[in-house]
Amino acid sequence: MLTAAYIASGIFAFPRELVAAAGPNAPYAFLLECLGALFGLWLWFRVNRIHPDGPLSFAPDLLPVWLAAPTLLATLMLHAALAIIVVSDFAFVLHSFFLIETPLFVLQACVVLVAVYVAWFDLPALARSVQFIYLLAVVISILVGLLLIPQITSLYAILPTPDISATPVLLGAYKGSYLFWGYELTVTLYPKLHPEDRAKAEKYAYRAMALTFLFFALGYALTMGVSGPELVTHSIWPGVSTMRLVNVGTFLINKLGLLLVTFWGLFVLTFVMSRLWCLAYDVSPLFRKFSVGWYRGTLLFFGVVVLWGTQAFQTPVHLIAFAQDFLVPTVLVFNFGMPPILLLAGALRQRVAIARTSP
Amino acid sequence: MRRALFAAVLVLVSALLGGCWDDRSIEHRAIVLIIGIDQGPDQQLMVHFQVPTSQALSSLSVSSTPSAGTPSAYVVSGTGRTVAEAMTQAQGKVSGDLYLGQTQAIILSSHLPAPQFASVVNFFARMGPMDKTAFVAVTPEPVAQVMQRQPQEGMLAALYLNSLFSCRRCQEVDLTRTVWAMEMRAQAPVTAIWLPLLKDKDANYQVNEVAIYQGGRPVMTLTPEQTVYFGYMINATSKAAMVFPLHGSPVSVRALSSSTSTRVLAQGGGLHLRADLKVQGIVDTLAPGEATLANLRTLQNEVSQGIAIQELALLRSMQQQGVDPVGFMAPYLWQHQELTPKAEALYRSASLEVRVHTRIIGVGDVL
Amino acid sequence: MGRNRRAPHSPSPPPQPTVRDMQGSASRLAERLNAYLADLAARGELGRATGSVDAAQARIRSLFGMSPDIELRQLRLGFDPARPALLVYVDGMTGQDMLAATIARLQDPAKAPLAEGSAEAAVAAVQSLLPMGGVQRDDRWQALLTQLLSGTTLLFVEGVEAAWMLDATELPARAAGRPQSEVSIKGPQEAFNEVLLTNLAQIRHRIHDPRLEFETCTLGSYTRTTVALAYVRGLTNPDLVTTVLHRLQAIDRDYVQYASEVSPYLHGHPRTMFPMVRGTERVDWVVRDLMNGKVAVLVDSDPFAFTMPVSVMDFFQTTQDYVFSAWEASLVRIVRLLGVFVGLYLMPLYIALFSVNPELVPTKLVLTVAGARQHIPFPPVMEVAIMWIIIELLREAANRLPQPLSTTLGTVGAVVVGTAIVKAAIVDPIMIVLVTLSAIGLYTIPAYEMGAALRWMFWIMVVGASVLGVYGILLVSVALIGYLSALETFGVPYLAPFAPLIPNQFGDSLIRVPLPWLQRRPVTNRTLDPWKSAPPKAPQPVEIKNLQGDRS
Repeated sequence: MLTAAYIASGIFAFPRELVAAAGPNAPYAFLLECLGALFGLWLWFRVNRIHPDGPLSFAPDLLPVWLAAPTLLATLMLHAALAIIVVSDFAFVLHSFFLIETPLFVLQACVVLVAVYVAWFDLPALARSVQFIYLLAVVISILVGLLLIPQITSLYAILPTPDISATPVLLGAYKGSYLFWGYELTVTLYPKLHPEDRAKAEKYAYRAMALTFLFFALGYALTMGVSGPELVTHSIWPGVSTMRLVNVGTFLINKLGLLLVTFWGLFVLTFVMSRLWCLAYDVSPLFRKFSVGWYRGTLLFFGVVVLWGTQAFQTPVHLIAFAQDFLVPTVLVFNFGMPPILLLAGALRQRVAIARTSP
Repeated sequence: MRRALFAAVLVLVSALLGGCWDDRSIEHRAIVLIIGIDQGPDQQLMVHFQVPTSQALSSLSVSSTPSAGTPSAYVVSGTGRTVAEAMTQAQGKVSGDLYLGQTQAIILSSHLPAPQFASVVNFFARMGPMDKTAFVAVTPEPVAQVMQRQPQEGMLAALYLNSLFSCRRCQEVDLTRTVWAMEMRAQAPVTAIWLPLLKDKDANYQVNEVAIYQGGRPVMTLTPEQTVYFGYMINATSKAAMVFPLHGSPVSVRALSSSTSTRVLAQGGGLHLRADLKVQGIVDTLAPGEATLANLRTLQNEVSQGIAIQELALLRSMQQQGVDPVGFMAPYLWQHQELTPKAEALYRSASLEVRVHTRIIGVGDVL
Repeated sequence: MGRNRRAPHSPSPPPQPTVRDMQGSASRLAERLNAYLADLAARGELGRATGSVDAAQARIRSLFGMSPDIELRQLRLGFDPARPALLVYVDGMTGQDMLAATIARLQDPAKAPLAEGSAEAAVAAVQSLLPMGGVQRDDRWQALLTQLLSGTTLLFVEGVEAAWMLDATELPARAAGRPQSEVSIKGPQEAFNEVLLTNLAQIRHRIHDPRLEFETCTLGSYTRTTVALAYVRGLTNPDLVTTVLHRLQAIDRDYVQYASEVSPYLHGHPRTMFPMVRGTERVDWVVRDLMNGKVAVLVDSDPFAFTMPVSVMDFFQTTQDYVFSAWEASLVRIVRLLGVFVGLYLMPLYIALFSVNPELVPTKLVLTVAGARQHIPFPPVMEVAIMWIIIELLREAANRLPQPLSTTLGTVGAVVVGTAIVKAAIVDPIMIVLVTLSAIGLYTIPAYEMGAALRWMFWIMVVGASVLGVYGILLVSVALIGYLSALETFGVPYLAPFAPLIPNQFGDSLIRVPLPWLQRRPVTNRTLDPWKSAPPKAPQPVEIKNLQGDRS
């Protein structure tokens, strides 16, 4: 259930920033990034455990209102921003390679429309579709990716350098950290799990994340090996460019790689679906409304918000600038800053509660 | 509520359906199969687009060859300072949409000045729908003339080039070069781009030479013989043959192919470049009774020495020009990025070594 | 009947009755009232039989009027003194031999024991005369009439305040035939027929266990059709049984003839275009589903039963998958799914690839198709529409015609129309190939009802493909998956075992593993007994000795 829906945020741009910043240290930076993501996930699970009943409704319980309100707002904005950049990034990809004459707006609207439609049926259906779609996309990606192995020409670029230097590693990990954006979604998901399943779900979440590392490691090796470091740092979507080299002459559709890029739309859809779902659920405790109608209303509302947000980016250049200059630091602060605050607040509350109950 | 929602969805859907923007049936597209780029007047580019004629297309679908004499493709041309400008001009000359998604080959004139070459590479890199696996070749002849050539085999020129380049290991040296490879090399420091040289010979295409580009202009051209040795270096040669005298009579080894690894070793202040070639081949002319262990050993040595001498000479000449199409330097520079500005000087002053190890892997069915 | 219904809406005023009509209905009313009055006078209430043969006869006559199929036969029982009696039965639903035997015994004075005047004695005497055992009596008219109309013979005896319900039923029925719609090369070849009792017996014949239970109820205020719910106690989840039973009982309809009239009330998704129950005429299929913890609903007068709950794979499984080896079965499964894929995606892909995203296709193919399409006046979408309409017309026409004609029509339609339309350059030849493949693909689905849903989906795909190409197909597919994931019947997800992923149920999905490995019943059915079979043991090698001795 907690299978991560975070591949989409990075799959197109990976590993541009990583390589640009870390150079030959990129594999180490990638490792650090993975560890960071694992740590972040662990932190959020801690937070979930102290207050497993409500999603950010816990904020008003734990924190004073003047602190809780901005927290909730930040969470909402974060979810919306992530959905927005993923939708517009994918729309740019499509617009550049497939549907040149179709207006961007239509491409974005279609993603959002389908995401809202699937999220419409609420969590069980959403989880099932995500499971189905996600596995399909991963399996197809790996199969098509393997076709690239004969094309690897710059093997040297994959191998890690023997002399590690700290600054590029840190910088690379920092700039490439967008790869795993999305795991903070567990906060909203957690209360929806049966209490007896939660421990199991945590284990699955870690496992899924480990598999994602492997997936990206494979992606890294293929992209770097095939395109070489220079092209990777100069492409907007290195993964897409690399995939476009898959050309099986004897097949009905020979540009399998290009087809696969459309299939990555599956990642984008799952990402946006779960994001929209999260938004709708995070907002409901604020207004104390929990009906199906309310859920669908908010879903539609946020769908429109996301669509409106995507209009802010004219070109991928704008998008990259926004993501790198603003979103990367913000998300990092959120992911590693929020949990400690909440944990601290939780611990304090608990102490107060114990002090109250013991006479 | 439900009705309002339904109406909203209906409006949205009909808005989406209002235009099928990219829905353009293929018969309304002018499918560009070959793009040729030549120097135009006034420092401009002259871009040619080869499009199959409708007769040629119809004959394809009923699987008959087009009757002799009728051209199977026509060429529309445009001039402009950039490819895009030229394309806009050419678009005005055809009724359908000039569609680049199926481009098979790009033929560049070897007389293109460096800035124009760079702008062409740049254009293709940014052109989304362009296929990255389209083949690239350069020609010293007028591009328009090369594009008008009807291959003897009677098929469309583009399909001819397609089967020529997409069949790996069909030619002596596999000189396939894709847009993507050109793009990739164009971004790398020092590393030169090599491109196959397409010539019009005896009313047919001939591809057995290589032009090496650096900084957007051809620095050197390899002869057919040099191309074969260059092919060993980049693992592209697969059908080479060599003839040696053995006990006075000529002996030939065919199907020579190699697998090469290159290394860069830092030696004192300079670099030492080493290429290890593992060559293998099949003996095909050896008098009966002569396939002895000793003879085979001698043959292997002969092949190794012959190749090593030629390779070293080739590498030297490339080193003198300061071009590294083999890609010795790329891994070293990747690890030592601070040396990039000095890369060319380092390469020019490096010592060279070629090691060849040959294995004869077959003698046919005669002992 | 406590029904809460709007009065039927009558658009035109009813025709004015003539005086003669009014006279006729008044006299019928008077007749009926007299009959009721007789009952009322005797027992003080209307709903029960009085013990007067004449009154019973009057009442039945008044109820059924001159209906020729209701037979009333007056007898005099061979008692001393002879007692008047009345046999009522529906002609055509009663076995004449049985009836004759019964009458003969009842009238035979030699067999009649001496009866005294009392009613109890008469009851005992009649009971001993009846040739069949376990005969029930009832005095409620409501029950008696219902029984009468379902084929039971009623016996009224003067002085006895209840009628015997004699089971001499012999319903008009065809013999249990071979299944027409679900053919299997091997395995049982037995289909249900229109008589519920036969059908239940057929199931009973295969499950010799008292835990096989049938719950019946009567539906249709006019038709009073018996509907049976079959399940296996101790295996099927009791919640499922109760829920289905409650939903069955809550059905309020005038008439029920077909199983498909019942099913939309049960599965809870009356609007969906995807089939939510698996209809079948095969006895073995119902038994197989029962053994997997499902329930089956059988409707009298419909040879098609249906089973619930379903998931999507149920529509791709047939008897043939279980009577052949796992290899054959797996191959066939894959072929069927391929058929769906081809049927659903081939033509949308054609549109997407050749009008929106030609860059995905090999050049030679693009050139070939472009060549074929040179003189076609329509875009691919129109071509698809034209061809699809032709195919649907041919198919519907073939359904309407008798068998020999429909074969001819199919051939003529396919060959003549196909060739002519290509010659006329309205459609390109590739399209003919594609449309044929698509149609064949969709026909590989064993469950016919799935085909309709997919044919609708096909059109949505076509629209998606023509607007956004391959990406449009992808979006429609995701929306479809989302929709299907949301479908559930009785808590069983429609897309199980794929979404949610249930790996231990994969053995009988895309492929079919050898039967000994299929040890579990589908988890999604939440059966009380999850295991079907013990884990297979490696068989001990056994040497078969030659008992005849060595003859060499």
